[in-house]
Amino acid sequence: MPKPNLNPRAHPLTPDQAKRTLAQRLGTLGDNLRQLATNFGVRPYRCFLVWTHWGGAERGEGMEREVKRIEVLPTPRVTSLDNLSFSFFHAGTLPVGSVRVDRISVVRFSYDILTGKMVPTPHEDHIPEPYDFFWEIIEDGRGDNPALRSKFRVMSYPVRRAGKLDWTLMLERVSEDNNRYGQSQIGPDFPGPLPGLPSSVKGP
Amino acid sequence: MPTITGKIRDLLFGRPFGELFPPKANPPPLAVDGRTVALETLAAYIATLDFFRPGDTGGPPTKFRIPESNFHIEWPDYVEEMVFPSIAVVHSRASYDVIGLVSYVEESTRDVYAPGTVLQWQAEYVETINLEVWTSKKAERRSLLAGLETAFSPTEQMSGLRFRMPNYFNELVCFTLLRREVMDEPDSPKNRRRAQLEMQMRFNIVSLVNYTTMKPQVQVTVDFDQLGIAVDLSVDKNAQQVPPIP
Repeated sequence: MPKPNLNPRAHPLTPDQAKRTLAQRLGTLGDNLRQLATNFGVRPYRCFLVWTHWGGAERGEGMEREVKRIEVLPTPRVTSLDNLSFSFFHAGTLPVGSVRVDRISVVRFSYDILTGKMVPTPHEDHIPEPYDFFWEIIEDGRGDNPALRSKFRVMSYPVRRAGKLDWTLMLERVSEDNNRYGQSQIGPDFPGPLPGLPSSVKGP
Repeated sequence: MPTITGKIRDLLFGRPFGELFPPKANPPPLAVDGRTVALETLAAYIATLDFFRPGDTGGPPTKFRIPESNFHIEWPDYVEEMVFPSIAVVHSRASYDVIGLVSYVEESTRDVYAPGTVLQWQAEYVETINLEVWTSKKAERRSLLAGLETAFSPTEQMSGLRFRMPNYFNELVCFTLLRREVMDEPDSPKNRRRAQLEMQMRFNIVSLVNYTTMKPQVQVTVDFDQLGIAVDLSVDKNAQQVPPIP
């Protein structure tokens, strides 16, 4: 058993007090400074939180429709994209690997938002059927435009680094990417590949 | 069927199939093996099938197909990304079952594929293959399995699936479903669902060889005795003179 706390200065913060701490108040300043990084062009990867709804009883049944999309702003830092690779399988290659995303605003985002537990109602225990949630990372258009869209899942617990005024988390690559126009590729047959684009990109 | 000539012909024990006089080269072997032709035929069949995924609540099911380009007989090259849904053939070691103890030619194929040739059966090729189904969602995988299970016994007359192979001398290939496995693993929740349908594939390995028709000849000699010694009938006293016909 620890000794009883006799120091009146040692106490936890109430939620209201925590929101008014110096670190939390500096969050907005941190966001402004991060926007400078975006303006300088050193944040090329835009990150989106995407919620979709399937028309049937469970995920994969019926049409997939996007119900909510939130861009993570200011644009966070995405590192370790070089850890992504293409692994061989019997029917072709699949992207595998994970990335780290940090410098995520502590002012705009919470754990529940970053892990998708906000749809259909805030603070869900888990994302219910037939809702789906994923992260999407897209280059900002300085190269290919429209750029490929890469789908990720939350791989690690998001951690609030109060001293660094940010959230950080790991994302893992999943399938199946939306096409370059943001449309789900799971659904009825599309006419086929668009001219000049990879075969994995089907037309609207 | 290769044409064996030269010194190695002298070393070969037995008479090569299709060896004729005057010498004539056998037709060259096909550029594509029977297994590939058989599985291409299967891919073409599956590409014509309609599969149905559950649709929106209260709505009709959603139809989809698997194009031939999504059917992989062998591992695709590194430049090809996987597209869902796809089917890949997971191979195993095949066996060549001997057909009888002597060679056999299919006489109905005489002069069908080239003048002076006939098909020779060499062995029965038997391979247990797995059709690996790749989908992104569970519902799609169920739909594919439901469609494939019924598609492998489409005829009234018999169980299994049989095709003629025009690109392989019209030989018959037979696919028989054996087992299936839904393969859930740590990668599955990442929208990478797969299942396997195990089946047996059988067809005859054949070869086009030269032939020539048999031409029986009978030679009768009358001026040799039973010991094979030549006799001169003009001086043989025992030989009876046949009176000339008046």
